[in-house]
Amino acid sequence: MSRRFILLIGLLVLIVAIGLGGLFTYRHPGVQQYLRGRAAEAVMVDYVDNAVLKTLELIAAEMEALNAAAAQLQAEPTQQNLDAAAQAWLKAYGSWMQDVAFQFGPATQYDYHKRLATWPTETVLVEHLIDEIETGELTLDARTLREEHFSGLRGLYTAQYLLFRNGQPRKVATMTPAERVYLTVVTDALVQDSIDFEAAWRGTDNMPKDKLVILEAGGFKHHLGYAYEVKYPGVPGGVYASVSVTLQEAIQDLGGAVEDIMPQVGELRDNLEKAPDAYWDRIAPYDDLLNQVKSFENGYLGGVEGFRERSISDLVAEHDEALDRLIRISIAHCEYRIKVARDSQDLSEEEQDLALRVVEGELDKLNARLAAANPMVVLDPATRPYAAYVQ
Amino acid sequence: MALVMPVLLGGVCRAQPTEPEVLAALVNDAAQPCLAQVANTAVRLEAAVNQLCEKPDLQTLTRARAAWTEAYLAWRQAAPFLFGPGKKLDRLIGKWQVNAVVLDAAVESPDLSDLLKQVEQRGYAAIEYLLFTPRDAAAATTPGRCAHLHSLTAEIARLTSAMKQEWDATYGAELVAAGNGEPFLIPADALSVVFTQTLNATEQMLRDRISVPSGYFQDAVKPENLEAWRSGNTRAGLQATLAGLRLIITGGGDTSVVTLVATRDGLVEKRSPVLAKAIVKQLDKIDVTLAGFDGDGVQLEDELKKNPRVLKPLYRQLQTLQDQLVEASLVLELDVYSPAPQSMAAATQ
Repeated sequence: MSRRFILLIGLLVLIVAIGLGGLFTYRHPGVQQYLRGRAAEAVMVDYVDNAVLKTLELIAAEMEALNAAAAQLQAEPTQQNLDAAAQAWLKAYGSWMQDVAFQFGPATQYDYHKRLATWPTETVLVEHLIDEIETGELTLDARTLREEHFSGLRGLYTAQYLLFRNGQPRKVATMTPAERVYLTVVTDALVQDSIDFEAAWRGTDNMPKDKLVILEAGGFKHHLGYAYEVKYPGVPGGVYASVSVTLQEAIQDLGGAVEDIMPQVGELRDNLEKAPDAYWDRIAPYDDLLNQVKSFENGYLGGVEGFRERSISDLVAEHDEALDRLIRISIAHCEYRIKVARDSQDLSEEEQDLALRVVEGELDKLNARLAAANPMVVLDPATRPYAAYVQ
Repeated sequence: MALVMPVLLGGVCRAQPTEPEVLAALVNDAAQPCLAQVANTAVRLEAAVNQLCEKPDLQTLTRARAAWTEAYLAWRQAAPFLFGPGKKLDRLIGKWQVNAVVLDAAVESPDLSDLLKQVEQRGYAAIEYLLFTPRDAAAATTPGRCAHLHSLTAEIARLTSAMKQEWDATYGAELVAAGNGEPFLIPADALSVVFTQTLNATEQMLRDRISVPSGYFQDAVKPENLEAWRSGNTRAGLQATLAGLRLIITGGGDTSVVTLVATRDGLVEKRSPVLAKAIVKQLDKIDVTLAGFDGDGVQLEDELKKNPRVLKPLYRQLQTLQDQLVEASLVLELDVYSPAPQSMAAATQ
């Protein structure tokens, strides 16, 4: 046997040994656990960047568009401009609804849901301020409104009060100049608060220059940025002890978003006999439901559409592929059934009620499936130490 | 091209049933005939046992045993249909195995008669024991045994008849009308109930009727845990359940579950003609395997003692069928969920 042949055989054996060794190493439970831990950390990075921050960017953009439309209406009070402002409000409110699954951290710490959407609006006090503007007793700007007046005098619902009556855009002839001024100030405050919301997550130092200018002019405090806490848990002195805790936070809020939608569907059922515009304060209740489901979808799939890479869905699929598929199916069915209910408004009350019961049923399934997925992901040994609480 | 096009068109032109159509076929062509057979054979069993106890001889004993076999196989075929009105029945009359020591003592001793109320001493299993274990009609028809046989057969006849009546009166119609909210909100919810029981039936076959007697293929075998071994009906019972599964999955032809899998796109999942075909093929494979156990009058309990892994191929094939049915439930976007073993292990660590 030639030396070369022996060397070749030896090389072949070595290559096979290395390959097999690599395969066995990869399959080793310890290695698998390590890889799952790194995957979970990557998922939370994408969750913050692609779901939370992108949603906050969208909100800020829509608030700016609303503010621009309000300014245009103030400058040129035509019905067309009022209708455009009403449409801008609907888009801004829709973007806000897409944040429901991320209402933790800064949202609760700095009360952004109050600053951006206190309900109900203090209409009597609003009318009083408008009267003062009309008589020239008061000159109001956004910063003063934010810093010196109750949150019930501003926010999305106040803008809604100024733009809509009985669920429809107002007649521009009924809107006074002072109301238009007030609307511009309210929407200006919305822009400032929504950009501050983004800064609370991103960190003031990481904000783009144009938004920094607004933050400085608005006198907002400097934020270190909550994103770092969620993306890199386990740092000494940090908010979260481990990726298990951040996952628990994220998944609990997904479940909370679904639980918050369900009574809204119940209210729609209770109010079927009333005309839609008399229902509560919601202008487009079915769009609100769809946007909230979209919030869940973005959170579960790791980002807004077009920005989805690693996600909680991947972590669930790693443990139970069928359950992940069921959750994705549930999301689609919730969206579909809400649209069916929305499009059934010309049908009989019984048919509408059935359509809404189906929506409730689909939300129930989504909630149950997420609850089944929760411990799989959060109690994966790869994410230790575990959360202090698990439902 | 002339040869290829008909093949392509044959696949493309397959009619797409709706979920209500499939449900109607399931109810009218599968469930109701099956459950009627269960109820009718239970009545005939009761009558045959009455005749045996009135006139105990070889002929009446043979007829009673035959009536039991007929009733048992009808019961086993109905395994996938034990949902809705039938969901509690398995616990009441379907428990296997009997506690032979207790049963023998309790039928002969009035002091122990209360023990005869336990499910381990009742149902199809207890009747099999009482009819097939004694060597002759006299031994089978002592006063105590006859009293208990009357009680058992009357109970089975009553319960299966009540189940059938509820299906006929209300439940069948509720399934067919699924989507009207009374009580099924959408047809898929009704199909989900059907699929869940179908999967439960396969799981019961895998765990109770194959794995346990086989010692889970690693411990000592327990042939005495084979269902219906005393009457030599273990294989026939498995074949009957498979027939029930085939009825649920493929019954109704163009309006079958498997046709729905092959033709319907969901909101997320796509139709899967490949899966549909594979399921039908798997049913055929299992049929062939079961038929292969019957060589020269061989009894499975004897075969299991000689070859502890004799049921392993059947187990694997049934496991594959179960996996295919789980996949089918996802393709149809049904509300059926069973935790994967690895996810259950992770959740309990």
